Amino acid sequence: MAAERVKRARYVGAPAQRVDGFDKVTGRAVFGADMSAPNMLWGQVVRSQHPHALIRAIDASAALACDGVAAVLTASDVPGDIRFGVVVPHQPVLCSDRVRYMGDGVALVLAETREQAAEAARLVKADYQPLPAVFDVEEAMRDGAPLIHDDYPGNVVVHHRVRKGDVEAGFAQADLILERDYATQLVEHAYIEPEAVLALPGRGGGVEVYGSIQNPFSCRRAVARVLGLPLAKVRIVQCDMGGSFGGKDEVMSAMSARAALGALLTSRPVKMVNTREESLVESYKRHPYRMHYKVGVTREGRITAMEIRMVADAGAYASQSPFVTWRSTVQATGPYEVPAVKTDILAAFTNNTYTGAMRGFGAPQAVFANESLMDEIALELGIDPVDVRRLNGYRQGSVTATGHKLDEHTVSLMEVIDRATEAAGWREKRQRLPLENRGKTIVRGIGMACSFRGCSLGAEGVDATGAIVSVQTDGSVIVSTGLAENGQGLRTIFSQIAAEELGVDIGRIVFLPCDTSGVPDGGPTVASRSTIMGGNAVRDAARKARRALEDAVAQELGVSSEEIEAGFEEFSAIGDRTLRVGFDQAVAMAWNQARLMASFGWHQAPKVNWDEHVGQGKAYFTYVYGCQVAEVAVDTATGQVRVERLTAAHDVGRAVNPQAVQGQFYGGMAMGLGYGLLEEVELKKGATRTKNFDQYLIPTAMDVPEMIPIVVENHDPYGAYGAKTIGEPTCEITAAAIANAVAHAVGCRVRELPLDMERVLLGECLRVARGERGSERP
Amino acid sequence: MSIRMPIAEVYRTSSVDDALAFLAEHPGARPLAGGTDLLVELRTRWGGPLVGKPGGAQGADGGGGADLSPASLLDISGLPELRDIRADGRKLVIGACARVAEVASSPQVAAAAPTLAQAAGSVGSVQIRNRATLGGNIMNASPAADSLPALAVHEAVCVLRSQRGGERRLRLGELVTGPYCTCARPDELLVAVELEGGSGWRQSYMRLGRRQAMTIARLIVAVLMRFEGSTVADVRISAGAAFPSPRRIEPAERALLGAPFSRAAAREAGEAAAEEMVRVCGIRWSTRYKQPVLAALVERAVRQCAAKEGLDEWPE
Repeated sequence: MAAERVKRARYVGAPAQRVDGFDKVTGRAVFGADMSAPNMLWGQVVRSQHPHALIRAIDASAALACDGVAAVLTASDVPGDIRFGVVVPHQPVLCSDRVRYMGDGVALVLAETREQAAEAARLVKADYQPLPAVFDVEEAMRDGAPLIHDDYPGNVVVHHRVRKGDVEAGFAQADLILERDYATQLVEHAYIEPEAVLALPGRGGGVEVYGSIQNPFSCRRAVARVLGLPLAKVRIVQCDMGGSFGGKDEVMSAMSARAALGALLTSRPVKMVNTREESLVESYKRHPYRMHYKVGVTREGRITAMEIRMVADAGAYASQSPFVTWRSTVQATGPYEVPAVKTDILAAFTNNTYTGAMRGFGAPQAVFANESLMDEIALELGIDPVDVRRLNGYRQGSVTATGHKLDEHTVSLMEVIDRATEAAGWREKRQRLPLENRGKTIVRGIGMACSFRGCSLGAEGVDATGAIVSVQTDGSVIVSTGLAENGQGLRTIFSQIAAEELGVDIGRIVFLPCDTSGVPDGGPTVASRSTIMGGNAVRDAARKARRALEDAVAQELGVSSEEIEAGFEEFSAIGDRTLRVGFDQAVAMAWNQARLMASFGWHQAPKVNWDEHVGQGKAYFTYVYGCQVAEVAVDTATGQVRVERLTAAHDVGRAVNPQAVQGQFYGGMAMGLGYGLLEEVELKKGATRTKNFDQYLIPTAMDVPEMIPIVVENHDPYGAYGAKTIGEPTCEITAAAIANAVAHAVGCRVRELPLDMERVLLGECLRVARGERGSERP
Repeated sequence: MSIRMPIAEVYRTSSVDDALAFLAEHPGARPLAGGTDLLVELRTRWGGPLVGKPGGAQGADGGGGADLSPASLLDISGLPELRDIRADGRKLVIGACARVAEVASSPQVAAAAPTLAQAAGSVGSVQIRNRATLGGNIMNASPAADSLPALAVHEAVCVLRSQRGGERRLRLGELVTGPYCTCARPDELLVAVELEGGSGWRQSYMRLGRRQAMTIARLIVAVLMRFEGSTVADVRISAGAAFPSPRRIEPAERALLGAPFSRAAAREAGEAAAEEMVRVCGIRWSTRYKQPVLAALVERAVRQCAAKEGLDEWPE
C-alpha cells in the first residue's frame, strides 16, 4: 500500500513553493511586533542588577508618578504561581525575593507608549542584598559553593549515567589509551526577530496572546499557571516567526505570562517587544560543556572502552538542561561500537545566563568532542580518519552505547561517510595538501566528522501529535496542526502531505497558524520532530477526510467504497473508469449526504524505553546519520581560518521537499560554521558583554563558503512517507569537521570552540572577559 | 519601531556658512553626516536597550557613566559642497561628507590613493558605506577606523572651518589626539581632507577582522613604498587598531629606508612596528596576539609592495 502511494506521489518528494513565501517576501507576513490593538499599553521589564541577590524591597513610586504609566507590577500581583518551567517549574516570571541571573525580571512597567514604559522602568528602585555568586560550573559543584536553588545540593541539576560492559577490562585490552579534554562555549540562537507578544483580555476572564512563540502549548501551560487560569481560558496564537532555532520557548513563556498578567490586571491589551540587547541578556543560550574523554584502542584502531565525563553549565534555571544533557548521553560515544562505556554527564547551576534548547540540543558539544577524538586516535595510530571511523562505525544490527540494537531502519553511516568523502575528494586532498603546505604561511586542510542522531523526543517523554484537515463545502481545505511553523517550512511540508493524501492541488490548502484553542496539544515543535511526527498526523487526518469523500462518491455511484479509487482531483470506480467524479463534485455529494468532511489525525511515536540507572534502553525509535567534510585555509601568521568548502551527506529517510531539505543543509552548516569559528556570548561576572551583533559575531554571506548538499534517502518504516529528520543533524557536525580540517592544515589541535584567531595562533583564548567567567577557561 | 535617543533638537542646514553659524551659537552641537557612529553612540549612551548593569545604574554600556544629557544635532548630510571629490594637481581633495562608498568607487581616489579606496571599500557593509562619510570616519576617531592608516600614509591634511577662527589646517595626527578624541574646537567643522597623491608609490593595505565583512578591524596596515632600482627610496608605514591615534611608524620605516629591499629587512620592519606598538600602548590583554600578528602583517604588506615592483613574490 505504502509503496503504491509513493509511486504516484505528486507532491511528496517534489519541490514545492513555500506556501508562506509570497507573504514573507511582500511584507504581508504578520510578526509579533506587527501586532497592535486599540487602547494598548506597552510593557517593559525591569531586570536584575545583580547576578545573585536578595530583593529587600521594590519602590515603584517614582515610576508610577511618570507620565503615561498605568501600573507597575511585581511578583505580589501574580494571581497564580510565579514560577514556571517545562521540566522543573521553578523559574519566576517576576522575582519575589531573589534574583539568580542578570536577566531575571523584578517588575513590569505598563505605560501608554514604549518610550514612557522604558523611561519609567529606569525609576523603579529595587533594594538588593547581594549574595555570593558562582560563575564557574566546576566551582559551583564544590563544597561550600553558594547554592543557587536550595533544593539542589551541590547545584547539580541532573546526573545521567551510562554503564555498559567492563570498562577496566576494555582499557586492559587496549594498545593505546588517550585522555583528552574538550570544551565548548556559550552561544546565542541569534534569530533575526527579537521576542515580541501582544496579550489581550479574553472572554470570561481569560487571555489571548499572539506572538513570536515557538511552542504555543508550553507557553500556554506557563501563562495559565502564572495567572491561575484553566488552560481552556488561555489562548496562544503563533504569529509568523523570524526564526527560533529552539530559542523561543521559556523566554517567550516569561514574556507572554508578563504581558498576559498586565492584560488581565489592567483589562487592556499589552504589547511587549525586546530590543536586541534585552534579548541577548535575558534569553537562554546553548550550554557550554567541558568534556573529558578517556578512550582505549587496539593497534588496528578498534575502540575497546570509553570513559566520558561532561559537565554542562545550566546557568540560573533548570530549563531544558535535564533533556539536553540526556541527548548528550546517547550521542557521547559517537556512532561507534564501543563494548565498554562509562559515561557521566552532569549539569550544574551557576549565576550565568540560563541555558536551554538550541538546534542540536546537547549534540553539537558531544560531536565536537568525540569527532575530534576520533581524529586524534587516527593521528596517533597513523590511520586515515575515514578508516578509523569505518572500522568502528555503526552498521546494520550494531548496538549503541546505550544498548539499542539498530535493526529497524537502514543504518546508513557508511553510506553517508562514503558519499561525502568521495564528493569532497577526500583521499587525494588528504595526501596532497600537506605536501603543498610546505613553506607556506597560508595552509590548507581537509577534515570530516559524522554523527548519528535520535529522531524526535525519544525517551524524554510523551511523544504524540495531531492535525485537523477540514474540507470546506467549496472544496478548499483548511489544515491546522499542533506543531508550529518556526521558519523551518512546516506549513509547506504539511500542505504537501495533505494535498498528496487528499489527491488535490496544493493551491486548495490553507494552513492556519497554530492556535492552542483550535487544535489539541501536540507537544512542542522541537527535536526535528515536525515531519516525522506531524507529517504522519497530517497524513492520518487527510486520509480520513479522503475516505469520507470516497464513501460519498461510492454511495452516489451505487458501488462499495472499496471500489472507489482516488486520483488527482478526482475519484473513479475501479471497475468502470468512465465513472469519474471531480473533487468539487465529490465534496458536494458528501455535503448533500450530510457527511463529516473534517477529520482529526493523531500520531503516536513508537514505544521507547530507558533505564536511567544504567543509561540503557531503546532511547529513540529511529535515528539519522550524517557526515560532513570541511575544507579550510588557515593563515598561520594571524590564526584566521577561512572555510572554503563544505560537503554534507545526510540520510533524511525521504525528502518530502528536496528544496526545503537543501535549505536545512545550508542553514545548518552556516550555523555550525559560526559555532566553530566565531560565536561566543561573553559574560563577565554574569553580565553579558556581547550585547548586540556588532560584538556577537555570526557568519555573514562573505564567511559562508560553497556548500555541497548530498541528500541520502533510506525510507524509514516509522517516518511519514519514510521521511525522518534534518533540521538539527546538519548543524551538529560542522564545527567538528572544521576543527579537524584546521588540525590537518596546521598540524596541531585546538580543543575548544570557537576556533577564533587567538586560539588558532596561540592555542588559547585571550579575550578580556575570560577567566572571570564561569564556564570559560582563562 | 522607535528607540528613544537623547536628542534635544536636529538642525538641518542648507550651507556651510549656515552650519558654522549654528555651531557658533551651539558649541556643543554634534554634526550628523551618515550617522553610522553617532546614532549608535547616542542609543548606547542613553542605554535604550534597558538591561541591567551590575551593581548600579541601568543603561550606558561601556565607557564612562550614563551621560543622559540630550544632544543637539547639526544635520550636514545634505550639503553638496562637502561631498565633492576632486584632483587638484597632485593633491586629492575629498569633501568631509563624501560617502565612504563614493570614496571607494571614485576614479580620482583609485588613481591617487588606491590604499584609501581599498580602506573605504572595507568599511562595514554596503548599507553602512552608502551612509557613512569619510569625515565621520575621521572625526569619530576610532583607533580601528578603516580609513585612518590609509590617510596617515598619504599625509592627509584635515581642513577645519569655524565662523570665529576661519580655516585651520591640521595634519591627521594633529587632529586626532587619542581614541575617540580630536582637538577640533566645539564650533569647528571638518570640511575637507587633502591627500598627497602620487603615482610612483607601491601600495598595500591589509585589514584583519574576525570575519570577512561587517566587523571592527582587529589590525590594519597601510604601506607606501617608492623604489629606485632595488633600493627603498621612500617608505611610509601606518597601522590601525594598534595605536591610540593615527601615525606613521618611523622605527619600521627606518628599517627599510635607503637600503636595498630584502625579506630580512621586511621582517625587521614588521618587528620594529610591533615593538613600537608595545612601547606606545604598553602590555594589554591582546598584546600576545597583536604583537606577532602586526609584525607579520607589516612584513607582508612591505613584501607585497616589493612584489609589485618585481623584487619579491607575494602572495607566496
